[in-house]
Amino acid sequence: MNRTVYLDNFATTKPAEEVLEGMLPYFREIFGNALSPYDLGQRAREAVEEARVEVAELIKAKPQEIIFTSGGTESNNMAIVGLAKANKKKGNHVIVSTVEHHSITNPARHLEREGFEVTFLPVDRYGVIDLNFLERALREDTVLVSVQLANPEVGTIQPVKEVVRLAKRVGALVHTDAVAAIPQMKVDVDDLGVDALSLSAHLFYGPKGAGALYIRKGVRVQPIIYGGIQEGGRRGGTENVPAIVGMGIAARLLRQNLPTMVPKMQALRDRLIKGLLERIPNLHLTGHPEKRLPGHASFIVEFVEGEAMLLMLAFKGIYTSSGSTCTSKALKASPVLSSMGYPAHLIQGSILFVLSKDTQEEDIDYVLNTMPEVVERLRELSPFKEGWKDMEKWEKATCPHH
Amino acid sequence: MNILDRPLNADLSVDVVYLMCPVHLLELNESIKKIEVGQVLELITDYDRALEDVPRWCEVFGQEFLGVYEDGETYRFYIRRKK
Repeated sequence: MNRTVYLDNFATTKPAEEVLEGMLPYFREIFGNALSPYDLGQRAREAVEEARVEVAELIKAKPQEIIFTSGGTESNNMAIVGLAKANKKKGNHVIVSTVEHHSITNPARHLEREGFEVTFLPVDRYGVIDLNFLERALREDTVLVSVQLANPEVGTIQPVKEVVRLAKRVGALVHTDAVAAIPQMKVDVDDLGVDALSLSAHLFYGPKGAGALYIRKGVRVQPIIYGGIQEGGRRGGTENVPAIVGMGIAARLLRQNLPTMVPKMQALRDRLIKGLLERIPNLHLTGHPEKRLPGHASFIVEFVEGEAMLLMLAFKGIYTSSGSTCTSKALKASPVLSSMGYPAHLIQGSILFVLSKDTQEEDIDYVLNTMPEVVERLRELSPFKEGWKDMEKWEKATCPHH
Repeated sequence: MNILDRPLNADLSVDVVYLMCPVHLLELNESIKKIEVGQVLELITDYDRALEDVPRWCEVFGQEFLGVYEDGETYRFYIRRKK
């Protein structure tokens, strides 16, 4: 019988049972608006503020430095647009890396249309940003630098502390997208020295529709959603109380469990990487071999097409992504892998496995036993089984994003 | 309206730049409690309506409006706590 092995934990994670249980009363008896002055509202308000303390604690911030949002995308949009516009007096230059999520690069493109100048920071073949390039790109009129803490697609951990050190020289603010890093590594905003940091609840066993943006005390941000006085007027809209409560519980559980989760994940991940490389010829690990997230394994499988591989694996009960979850939908070559220098025909065969707190040894064994035959079968059907040829048509499929 | 030609010394400064109505008024309600009677509060905002709202708030709540200093694109309002 087929097992179900879910290794697509950067698409989303399965919410923890405790999270779901904790949320339910805020759909039922405590359904009040957190701004209402009577007890039904006040109980909702207390729950939101408790969640704020938990989320702050997870990243070693102060509760008043946390703004609740609808998720990672909104947090990233608010950081890029809100921080750049709020500091326009200093200058109009923004730096983001080429391997950022679309919720960073697209708002950066929007800023370009609004008169900002945006520099895209290149990466090496492991996906690590080029610090020398950054040092030269920073100017007196640079207002903001945004570099992710870890890349969701190849798992590479970025030298964010170094980015902060360089950016401070010109007085630029630093934002980091920690959406992929949070579920797999300890994060301390003071240790990193960043001015802003994005989180998303559904990647750490919380609900969808909840996220947060950390903004260091004293840093001005222009809202992107105007409304009432929620979140101190920085983000309008009635608070999504159940989702915020769920995020708070997820943050507490993650903080408690991370120290035991990480070594367990890492051992399984190492076993997966080693096992697949031994069993499948023409398979290449993408991302940094050591400086990568402990529960992340990403590869390029030569002579196969990622989408077909995903579907065949899913048929066997194994759920993964090819490229990033969003680019696999858009049927485009991943801008992350192309920034790292991979040609389009290789990028088509990318696959990534993201482990969760619940991944078992048997799950990894099942992948090790199942995937080689899937790849073999696909290669039998592949027009490239005798090697690469007629590649021009693949080049056209490269995402023109960068 | 008392327009100041230079900023005053304040015991507490709060920054609500980019935030809109009614955040500036809620912030006044909260912040005035954080200083002692006789001390001065500075409110920094870029919200134009504050030019009407802040003096009026002082009138309603019995606090002393010392004046406003226009600092480029922002205003600095000064309020002395009377009670």
